[in-house]
Amino acid sequence: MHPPLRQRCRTMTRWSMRVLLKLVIDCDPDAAWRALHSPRAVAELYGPMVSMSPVVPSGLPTRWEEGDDVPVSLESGPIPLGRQLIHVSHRHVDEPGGAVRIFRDSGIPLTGPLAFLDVWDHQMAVSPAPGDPTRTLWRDRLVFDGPGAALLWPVLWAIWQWRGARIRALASSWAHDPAADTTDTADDLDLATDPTEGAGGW
Amino acid sequence: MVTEAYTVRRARSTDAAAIAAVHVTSWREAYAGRIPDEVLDGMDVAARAETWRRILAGEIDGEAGDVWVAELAGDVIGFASAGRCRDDDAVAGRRELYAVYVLEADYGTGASDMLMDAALGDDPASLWVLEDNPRARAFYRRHGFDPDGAVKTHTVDGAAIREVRLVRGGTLA
Repeated sequence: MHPPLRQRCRTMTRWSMRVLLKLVIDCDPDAAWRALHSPRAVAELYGPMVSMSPVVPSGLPTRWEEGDDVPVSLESGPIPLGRQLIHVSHRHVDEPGGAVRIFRDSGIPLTGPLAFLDVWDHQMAVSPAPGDPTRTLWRDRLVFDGPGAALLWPVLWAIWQWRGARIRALASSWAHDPAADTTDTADDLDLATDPTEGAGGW
Repeated sequence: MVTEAYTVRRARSTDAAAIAAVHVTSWREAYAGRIPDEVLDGMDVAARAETWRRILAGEIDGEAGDVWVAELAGDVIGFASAGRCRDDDAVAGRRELYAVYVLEADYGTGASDMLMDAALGDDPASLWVLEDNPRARAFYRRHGFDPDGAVKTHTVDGAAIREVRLVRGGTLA
């Protein structure tokens, strides 16, 4: 048995769905990079619209590490969104404006409505804000495709707008480096939201 | 929005070295922590290239099958191979997916799905996958594969490696 002739050579240019965020936030790039590696901080970005909880008994790691495969469960209130395997990788790019650090989650949806997607690529790039290295230019790109992608686009777009607002609101709290305070543990991280942050448009 | 254009085509004999490089790199990326480091570190691209050259030339009995490569901008970033089922309890009409790998940089792009479609289409098939490989198992589940209960265990450098068989379509022997 051989694949039919139509499968002998295929070129595919995918017209994938994208959701993009680009914003300047009130912390330096080191703090933003540190927050990206904190499961607790990442969970705060989606809450309370979407909650993220561990699947394995050992719970979430205190820090995402490159190469990690971490299954998590996502819920929106009482509605289960399914399980997602988070896979972390890093990339560094030198741009004219300075060094860019890219945190990539190329995990795969394990169950739920997102499991029908065959493209899922979420990249978050942090770099010094133009003209102000004490602040961070945060660029966030989600690319997805597959059956049902068009139906999911407005849902994911709305979640990402919420996420953008939360990033702006929480950024100033990321300036605290728990590693510099030996009395802190991961559970002590103060990620409280200051409602006065994030009021500006972007 | 356009993303990268991936091309999937049948492998040629001149692809052996490129497939070997992807083979070794993708194993190290996918299996770190799941297969002993000594095994992954000991993988030799040149030796793999020679094996792939022989496979593509049809010189290895029982291994010859359909081999496909995925390219991005002319570079091989993944491969898949499939052929007759090698299991002792092979089911007539059911093929075996021997391998499908893409580089980590191309995870989540759909390139793996293109390779699967090219190598198997909608054919009934079986495959073996590491039991502890949630990413791969979710990928195969999306392509209609489920465990049939068969398990095999290898010992590699003192570590037990368990694989489970996944099947799609066909009838029981």
